[in-house]
Amino acid sequence: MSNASPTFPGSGLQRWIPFSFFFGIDWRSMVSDSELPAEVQSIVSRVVSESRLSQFEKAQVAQELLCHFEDGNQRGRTFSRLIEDFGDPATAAALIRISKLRNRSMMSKLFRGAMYTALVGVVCYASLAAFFHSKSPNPTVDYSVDFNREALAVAEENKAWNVYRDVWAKFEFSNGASFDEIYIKDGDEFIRFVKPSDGELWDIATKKLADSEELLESFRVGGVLPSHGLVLQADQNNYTREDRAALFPKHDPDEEFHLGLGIAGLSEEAELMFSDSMIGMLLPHVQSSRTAARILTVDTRWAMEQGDTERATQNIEAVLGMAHQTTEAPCLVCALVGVAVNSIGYSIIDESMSDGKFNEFSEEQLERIQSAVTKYSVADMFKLDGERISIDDIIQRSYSDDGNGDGRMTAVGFEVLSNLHLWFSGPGGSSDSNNMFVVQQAKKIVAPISMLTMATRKQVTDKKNEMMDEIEARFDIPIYLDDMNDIEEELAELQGIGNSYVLISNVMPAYQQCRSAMFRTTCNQGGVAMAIAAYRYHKKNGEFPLSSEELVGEFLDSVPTDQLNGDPLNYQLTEDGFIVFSVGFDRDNDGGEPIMVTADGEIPPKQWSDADFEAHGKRPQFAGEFWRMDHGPDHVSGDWVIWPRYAEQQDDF
Amino acid sequence: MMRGAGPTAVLQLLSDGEMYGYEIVEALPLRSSGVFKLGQSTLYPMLYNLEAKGLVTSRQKVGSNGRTRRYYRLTSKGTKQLVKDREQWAAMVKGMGALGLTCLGGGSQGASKSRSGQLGLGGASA
Repeated sequence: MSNASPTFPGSGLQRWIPFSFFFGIDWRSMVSDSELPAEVQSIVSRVVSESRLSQFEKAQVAQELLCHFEDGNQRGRTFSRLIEDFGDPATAAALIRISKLRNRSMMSKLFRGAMYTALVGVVCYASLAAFFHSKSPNPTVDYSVDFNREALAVAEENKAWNVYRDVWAKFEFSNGASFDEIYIKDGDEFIRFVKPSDGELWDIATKKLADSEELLESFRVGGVLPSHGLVLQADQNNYTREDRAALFPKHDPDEEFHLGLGIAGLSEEAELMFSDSMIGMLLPHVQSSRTAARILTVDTRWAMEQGDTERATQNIEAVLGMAHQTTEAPCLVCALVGVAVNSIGYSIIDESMSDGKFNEFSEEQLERIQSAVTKYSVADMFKLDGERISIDDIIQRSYSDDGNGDGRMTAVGFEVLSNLHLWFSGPGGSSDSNNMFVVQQAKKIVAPISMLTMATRKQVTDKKNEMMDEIEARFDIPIYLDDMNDIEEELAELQGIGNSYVLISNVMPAYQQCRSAMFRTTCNQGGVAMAIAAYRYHKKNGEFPLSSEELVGEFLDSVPTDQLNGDPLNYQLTEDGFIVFSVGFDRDNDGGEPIMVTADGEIPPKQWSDADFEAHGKRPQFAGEFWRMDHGPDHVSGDWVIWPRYAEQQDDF
Repeated sequence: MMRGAGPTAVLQLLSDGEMYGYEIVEALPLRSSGVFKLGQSTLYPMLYNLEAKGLVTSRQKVGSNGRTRRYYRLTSKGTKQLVKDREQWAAMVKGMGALGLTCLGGGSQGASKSRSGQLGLGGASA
């Protein structure tokens, strides 16, 4: 019989060291190696096995029971009698288990508890993960139809795209770097546009313009049409061959290509799910409109140098028309680019008419330019439909669908949203790839658990509708009546509630920025229109009017409203002519004093030289131009002079 | 079966020195004149429970026959517990005597009698 003892090195600590659970002492060999009868071995084995103790404890019990039977036999008892006296093995096993468990050290109990907890955790997590991964989104709605509703409704003859397309393809216009000749740059840093005093550079630029006359003419002809007319596609391969040649000149129009979402670290499944989604939809026409406006800026300088006010007028009409066309797609990105193009148009007008040059234009041309300025409502440029559509599309690609408008977050949805969040938080997903990888893996592990706290499809949809309704209503309230920022505060709060509304907090539009841009552009539009009215007045009367009231009727329908205080915009005669100004963000009329501040808060010189650009970077802004009380420099007052535009502001980029 | 009789009986046996499992099984009926007989399958759980309470401790020891056995002995805590148990049993016997129960001999009240006439301790728990 075996005398093997179930001990291990350091057995004095065996009660305290939880590792004893892992010591695989072979109690079965101990039993089988004994010389006891098979019946006894069977009982001992059964008791030990059913005790469900650790291997070490089982070995202890086995050894003690083997000794028990052997001792009993040596004292003259038969094995059959000993077996009878031993009693029920199942009861013995149960009692031994209870008493041994009670006998364990605190460390062992804690360790065992931790193991059980971990095991339960693993099982729960595995169940949760299986449930989490059991459903996939099932997108059924093609939102691109809604997104393109305006473009689809327009008659073919009113679509500028029919004018632009072939010429753009011929000149590879959408390949952004094709008009470097019109810029003065310091490395990659834009300084300004080329001007006649630049000598050789000016000659190079004008030669480029002359060589591109067909393209510029397409701008002038297409720019005044009421619609851009390009039907945008979420999947670039759905464009016609001709459209692709015009929009993506770097790609072979006969070969399929996928640009992806541009979000780092997405799985193939996520890329596929979102490959034709609204958030993956490129807006190639938007940047082209801005580039066209820049080209027309320089061409207008050339036209004015040549005394060709008709071409200048057509250029201005085209730029302002393109601004409107850019906003045909109903999303706020388009609106922001649209107002930027508008601003370029206003700067061209200012440059072309300042220092008495307005006299070179005919009354008919001035009237056409004024009409182009006021032709479209700025408010109409800001459409929220695209934002709603995009969020709805993200929801249908992120959530499962129970058929009743509800569902839960899916793995692929969580992956995209969490990466989108990282992308927004970091520099465009290009942050440290190792860190990104670690964070992404961690998020994958956390994903099933987050399902417990994540808002459902219906909750997210309701929250989206509630917030979009609120934002839409806020766009209708003039900023002088309400410059509260509570919606952005609500969004910040949503970001604080775990991941519940990660979708909403990440994809809601930069509402306040857009709203400010809308009212600022409205002010600009009114101010520019009033200035042109004053020029027209001068052409007729030989002098500028004493007050804006004299413009109303023949030259202006009414004096535009200052969006910062609700009063009429201010008009004031000066030694050089006149100024049009808003009271600025401090809501205080400083008599048209145009105090400027640089990006670093300094008050710059009146003339903003190239050296100033190098020293300060971004062009200065009027102190009064800050549209949110919490964004403006509180130590500077002053008015926002809308006309004339600040000297170097003419090079609006 | 009177609750607590089994552990007290085992503690009493161990008060004379350390013993191994079968030794206790054998000694109990012998020392109690055949009155107490411990269910063998319940002895070991009882010992483990007493050990868990710190009343007994155990060690492995190679016996005279060369076999390694686990021996149990009283701890100081077990000794104190045994003193208390003795006092309680003495008081109980005295009380029972005052009630006249000690005259019942192999009577049936308060104890279950086995076929052999011995009082079983198998159901006792520590």
